[in-house]
Amino acid sequence: MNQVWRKGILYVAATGIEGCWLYALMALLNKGVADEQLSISGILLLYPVSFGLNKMLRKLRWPGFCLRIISWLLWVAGVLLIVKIQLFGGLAWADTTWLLAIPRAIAGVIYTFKPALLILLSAAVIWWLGRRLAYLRVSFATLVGEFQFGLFILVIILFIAAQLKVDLAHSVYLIAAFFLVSLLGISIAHALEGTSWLSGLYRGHWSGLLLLSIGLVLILGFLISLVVTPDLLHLLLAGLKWIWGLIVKAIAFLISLFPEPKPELAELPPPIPVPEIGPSQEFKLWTMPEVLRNGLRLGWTVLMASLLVFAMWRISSQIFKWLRRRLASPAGAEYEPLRGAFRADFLSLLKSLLFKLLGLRRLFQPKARAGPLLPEIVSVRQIYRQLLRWASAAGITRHVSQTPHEYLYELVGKLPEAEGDLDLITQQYVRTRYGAWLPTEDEIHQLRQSWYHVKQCPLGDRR
Amino acid sequence: MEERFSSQPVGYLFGRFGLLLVLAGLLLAAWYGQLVIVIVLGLVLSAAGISKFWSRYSLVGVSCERWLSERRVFPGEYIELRLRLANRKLLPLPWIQLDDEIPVNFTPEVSLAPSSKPGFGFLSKTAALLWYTRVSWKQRLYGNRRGYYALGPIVLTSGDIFGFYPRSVIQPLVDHVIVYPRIFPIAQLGIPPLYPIGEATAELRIFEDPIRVIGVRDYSPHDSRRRIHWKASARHQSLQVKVFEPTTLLNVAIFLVIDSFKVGSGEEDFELGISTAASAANHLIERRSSVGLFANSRLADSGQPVEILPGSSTGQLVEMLESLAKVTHEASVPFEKFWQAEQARLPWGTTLVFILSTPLPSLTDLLVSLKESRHRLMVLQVGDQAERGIEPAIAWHNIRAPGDFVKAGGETR
Repeated sequence: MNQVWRKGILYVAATGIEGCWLYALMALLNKGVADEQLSISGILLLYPVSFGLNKMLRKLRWPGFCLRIISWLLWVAGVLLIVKIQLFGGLAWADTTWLLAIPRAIAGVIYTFKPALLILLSAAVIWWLGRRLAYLRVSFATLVGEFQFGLFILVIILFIAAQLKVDLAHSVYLIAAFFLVSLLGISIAHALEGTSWLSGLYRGHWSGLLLLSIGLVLILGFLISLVVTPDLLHLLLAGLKWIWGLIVKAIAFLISLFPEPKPELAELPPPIPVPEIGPSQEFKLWTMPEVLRNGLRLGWTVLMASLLVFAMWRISSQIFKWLRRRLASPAGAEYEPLRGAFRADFLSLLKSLLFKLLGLRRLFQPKARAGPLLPEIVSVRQIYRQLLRWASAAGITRHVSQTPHEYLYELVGKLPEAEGDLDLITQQYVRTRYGAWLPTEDEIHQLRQSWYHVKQCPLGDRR
Repeated sequence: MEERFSSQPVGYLFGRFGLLLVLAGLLLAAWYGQLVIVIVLGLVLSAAGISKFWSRYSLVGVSCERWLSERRVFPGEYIELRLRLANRKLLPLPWIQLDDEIPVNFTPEVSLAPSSKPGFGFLSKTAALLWYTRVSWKQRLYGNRRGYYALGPIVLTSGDIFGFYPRSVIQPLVDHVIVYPRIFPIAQLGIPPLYPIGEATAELRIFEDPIRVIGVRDYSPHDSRRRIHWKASARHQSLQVKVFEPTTLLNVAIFLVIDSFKVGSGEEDFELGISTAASAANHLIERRSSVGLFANSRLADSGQPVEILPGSSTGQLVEMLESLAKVTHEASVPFEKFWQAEQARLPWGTTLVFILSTPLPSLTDLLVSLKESRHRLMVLQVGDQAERGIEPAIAWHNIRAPGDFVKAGGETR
């Protein structure tokens, strides 16, 4: 995969993102203004043409205003060509009526919005966008920006279309294409900014993973749209109302527990009417709606199909393994698999599960009590705990993976003058904690002295 | 130091507020039955959810190691740095960036990403790691300047395949590298060999151990008759005397007067002064003299001054060189005060070698008083000779500018 091709992908992605929302916009306007007289694809063709021509013009290194004038002259030619082909297809080229179509449309804009004017405006926007793209350095940030802007425009267009009751053809495919192109372009742009999956080993794996990820995004997105329906929302609302009702009832019950300020025993209050909850309502809460069931069924089918495709891709990728290795350019990096790590992790997981199960069993068994520690051992441990707290407060926390001796080494590095005292405290602790050693009174006294000396050292200033 | 995670979404749409807006829009659209808008917003939430999940678990099970071939080098030598990154989980990492904070002068041929710490930069390495895979890189680091350098911590950044949610973790992996000061032959520094003993003659063996005979030589009229080796004389048919192993000839204390060096402009002089101390110590240790080192500096690691009492072992030289590597320009206390504290700890008869740049009047007075109290002392002045305060009674030597070492082209280590 060479550099030019990679950059080309980014431009294709940017064109695709803008093309999608432009298509939606054009489709809306075409239906609303031009009665579907225009071919949107024909007008959108101007976008790659504008990009290509402006890219070529840019290479000429002429003054900027010259290039701008030439570019917009080309736009005029393009607009006229589209008007001729789309609106005056049957007319001879020599007949100048088609040339006057745009001036006439401008002149009559107060009375009617003619398709020629729509071509003029849309072509201007498209040409400008193509020219902008030709001068733009497409990067990850650019594509993310394009994606966000395109999404915003797309939602607005879809909202307007819904309000105007305009049915946009193939809008779901358009949305899927928009997301596919955007996510593909963004991930490739991101990969190109560093030495990541595009230039390392196993490019086939990564490309497959990218497609799988995008596939998952699309499947999950469509599942969300299938699940989140008005019925579900109504159901949720009903559930919330029911819960709220319960809360109100609970509050009312609690209030009723308090005595009335002036209880009148003569007259009994009327009984509070209890709302009746029919069995059918309760049953509804536990019934899966048909729409959800269908959605889940569809999702399951799609998931299975994706897994099948993934498995096929995995098998075919093995065939070309040697080729991938040959093409690898790891730039000084050496890759190697962690042999046996998966098996070890899996066994460890099983072991932990087993221990948890055994632990559950132990919950029901009487606990075996550990014998009380001797006071000498408690003293040594307490001093060591105090040392840990003191050092931790100064920012030298003992890591769980550190042995007492490793921690001692770290402490001595920060506090060399207290090396002897720290060593004594650690040695005593290790002996009492891990060995069958009982310190004498004198040794405990010495330990306390050492701890006192250590405390005098200004550890907080050493960081 | 604890591991610290940070995550910053890319773009306003994938932030918490943006996603809440999308969710609200989705619910509204669903309420009003706008299926197409629900699909669009559902896809946004789906993309954000998958990315967020991937990013959240990207750095779980990722381990990083730094391996250094050496931790102590002389200037000009190199260290091989090896960085290793392993992904011990099923979730692959489409990109992971490792940034190791190292001194800028360690990698002259590699441009480093800027760091907030002055004089340091980030050595960046990126890779894509599949499940249960590891990657390693090698890099040569050159210790060109004396010093005590910290390598690390390492910043790992990874995330989802789309790059929407980069996630970083700072791994508290810190290693220290010591670059010793340059050591020059004493002659090259302008000091006659063995001269640091002050007034003593160069080859004079002051003390010898009579039970350690290291050889025989011809008798001379000045030799004592007790030293004659009768058996060897009989064998050679001429008088031979025993040669004993000399015991420690000297106790030398080298004092590096930190506050006599100008801060900022006198950086070269300062380095030259440290090299002078290292060279003198090396020279004396090679001749089995007992040498100590004292400097009223704040060491780069502990912030304490250098107080190494005289000794003659090889370990003593290593300790002195390490301390000199950690010496900073910052004085812990004024030298006069430092001297007051240290003089009582010196053995009787110790030869004092002072290394300084611009002697302050108080220091000159101190040196004169030491001389008057019959201490054996020597001053090695580094840098600008015009400023030196010459005291005729004191052995006073000037150390040439650093350029002279290059011209001399002598042996360096």
